[in-house]
Amino acid sequence: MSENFETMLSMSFPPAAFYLHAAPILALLIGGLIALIAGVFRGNPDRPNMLAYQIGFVSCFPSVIVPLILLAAPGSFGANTAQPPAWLGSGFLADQISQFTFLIVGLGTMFTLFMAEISNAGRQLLRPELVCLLLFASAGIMILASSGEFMTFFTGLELMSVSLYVLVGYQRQDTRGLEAAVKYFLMGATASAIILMGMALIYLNIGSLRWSDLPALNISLNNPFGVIGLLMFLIGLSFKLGVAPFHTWGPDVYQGAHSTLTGYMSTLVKVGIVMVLLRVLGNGFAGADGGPWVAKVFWVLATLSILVGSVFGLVHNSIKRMLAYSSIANAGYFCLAFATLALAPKSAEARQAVLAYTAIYTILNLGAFAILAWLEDSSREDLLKEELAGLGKKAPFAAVCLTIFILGLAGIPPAAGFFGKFMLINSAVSVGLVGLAVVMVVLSCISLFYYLSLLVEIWLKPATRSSVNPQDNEDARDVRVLVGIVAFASLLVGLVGPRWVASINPTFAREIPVQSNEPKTGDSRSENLSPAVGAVNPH
Amino acid sequence: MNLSLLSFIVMGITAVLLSGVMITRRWPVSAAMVLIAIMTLLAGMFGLLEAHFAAAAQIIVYAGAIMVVFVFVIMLLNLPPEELRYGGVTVGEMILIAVSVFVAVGLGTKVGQGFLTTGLESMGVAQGESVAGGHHMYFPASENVKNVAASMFVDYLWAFELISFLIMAAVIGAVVIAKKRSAEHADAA
Repeated sequence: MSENFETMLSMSFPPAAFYLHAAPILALLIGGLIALIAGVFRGNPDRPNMLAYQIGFVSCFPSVIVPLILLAAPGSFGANTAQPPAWLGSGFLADQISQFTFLIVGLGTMFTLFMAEISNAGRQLLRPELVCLLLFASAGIMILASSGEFMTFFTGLELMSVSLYVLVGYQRQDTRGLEAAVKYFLMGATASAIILMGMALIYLNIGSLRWSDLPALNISLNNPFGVIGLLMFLIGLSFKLGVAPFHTWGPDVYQGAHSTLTGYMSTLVKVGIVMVLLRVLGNGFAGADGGPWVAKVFWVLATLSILVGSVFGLVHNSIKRMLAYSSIANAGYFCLAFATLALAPKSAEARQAVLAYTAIYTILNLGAFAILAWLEDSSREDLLKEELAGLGKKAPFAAVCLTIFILGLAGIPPAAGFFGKFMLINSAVSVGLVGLAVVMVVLSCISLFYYLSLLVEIWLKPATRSSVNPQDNEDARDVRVLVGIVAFASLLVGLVGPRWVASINPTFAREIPVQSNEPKTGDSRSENLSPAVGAVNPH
Repeated sequence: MNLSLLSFIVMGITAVLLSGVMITRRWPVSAAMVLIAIMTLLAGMFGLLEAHFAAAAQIIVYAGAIMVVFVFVIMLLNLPPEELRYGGVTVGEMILIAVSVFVAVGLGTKVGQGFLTTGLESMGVAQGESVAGGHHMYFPASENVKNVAASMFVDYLWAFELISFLIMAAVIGAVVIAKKRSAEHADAA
């Protein structure tokens, strides 16, 4: 009995290295609680609380420092680079994909907090309980991205969603905001329910919640509940990702929420979901039909998304709505990447393309929404396209940065977006998805129209009485510094190309059994990735 | 036919019939009362399946805690039946009914289950053996509590601990949304 207990202990508790690898998550969760307590002791709980803001900011530090150490020196602290370990029953995957996501989410959270601090409307976000929820949401995204089984995945998803429902719903002045909050809540809850049912059906089929067991799922019409389960899981995630035809909540919610928060929702939330799909699809599916079947699903989703994102964006006047449709179009590019992954799950190139595009998309969208939040601060919420007229003369620096972000989102070469899309299309073509790649490029050209119409307003139209008048105060200087850094980063990524992503090892972590009773056949536990094209892994 | 099988069948049929009764009640409170009976019957069925832990949890969690919340919400809203009626069956509801019939037939009948599980035995994962060789702890099926504990505190310990933060976020969220109005007054002052 005591021996049994010992085994149990060694199984349930992770090794000490876990606390280093999971430090970003733990710091955000604990930081959230401390920020909450800070509100009890300091000042009016309904007012912005600078102490909570500082605590929130500091608790993001581990999610920058730890990933930088682990990404720059992969072998440090005895980490196994060839086959990264998974701990806690695949609940936490200690691989570089997790660390890469932690870095993006940590920086994005710091950026969001900072932007909230320097805009008047955003400062409402700095009440202690809202800072706490923002940190919890970021922790949820990290949990999502580092989980290797359905149970932890769903906990992270809900932690993220519940926090965001409240964050969208807290600021209620107009009916549009209320509509956004209610819509987001109902749609999100529906999506969660669909995901849960899908999870249950998949578990019924394979008898395991681990994603590494997903290849056992028999995808064929002989097994209707397995297929339906997988489909429900993918549909639920598409809801959360804002992929057409499950996108309808997106523009309303983005328009209704405050721009700082919209930037957070449209980028970091998607990072988490994209990583989940990367891990699920990267395990591959059984049989010759499995992968192509899933690829077909994403074929349809990608085409619809890029179509909806490009065409519907044309008819809208509100900049936030246009950016929302742009993010639907970009979700279409993610679907292209997923179709590629479904066909070539072990391709390191495809995985790295997803990582690169995620990072680039996050930088561009966060930057664009940050400028929008700043402009709205001196004017009103929900700017129209015409109100940008003459911005090039009034605030040239902001106009240049916004131009860089818009060019990036459109995928025009000097900015970062081009290489992201190039890598995705390159890897799609290399697995034979030529038709889909052509569709994506052609429809992207339609979306160019509304991106360029924004630039026309900024640079060529003279200022009118209704156009924005950005204030030139101390906050404006802070915004300039911050947004300037982001714009410079996106230009730098655009100019040097995505070579940096080749140094990230996209191997998934696997569980290493405590005791092996029988010899396992072959090397089934470690992944053999095909080498990335044009990329040499340093290890 | 032995006694436990007979009582299982009786309980099952009663539960299905009561479900029909529940969704046709005019007053929400009577529907909630019938739901309690259904929950209790389900607990009995779990018990007959030798899942004693699930039976106890069913009584404590569903028939107890969750029903209290249901009744609270019903009493809080206090809607008369006239305000709850909303016209006939829509197309969307028809589709939902069709889906639920499909799922019920698939999961609830012998034919559907045979259809479901044909693929499983061939792959050898139906016995709960993880393909990737992850470590599970299994006790004999009669050791209900130990099996639940092994899942909760060994396999899914991380998720279990994180759920406390999920509940924390939900509690904070409820407070933020509920006290919103007073906060707006404070801002205006």
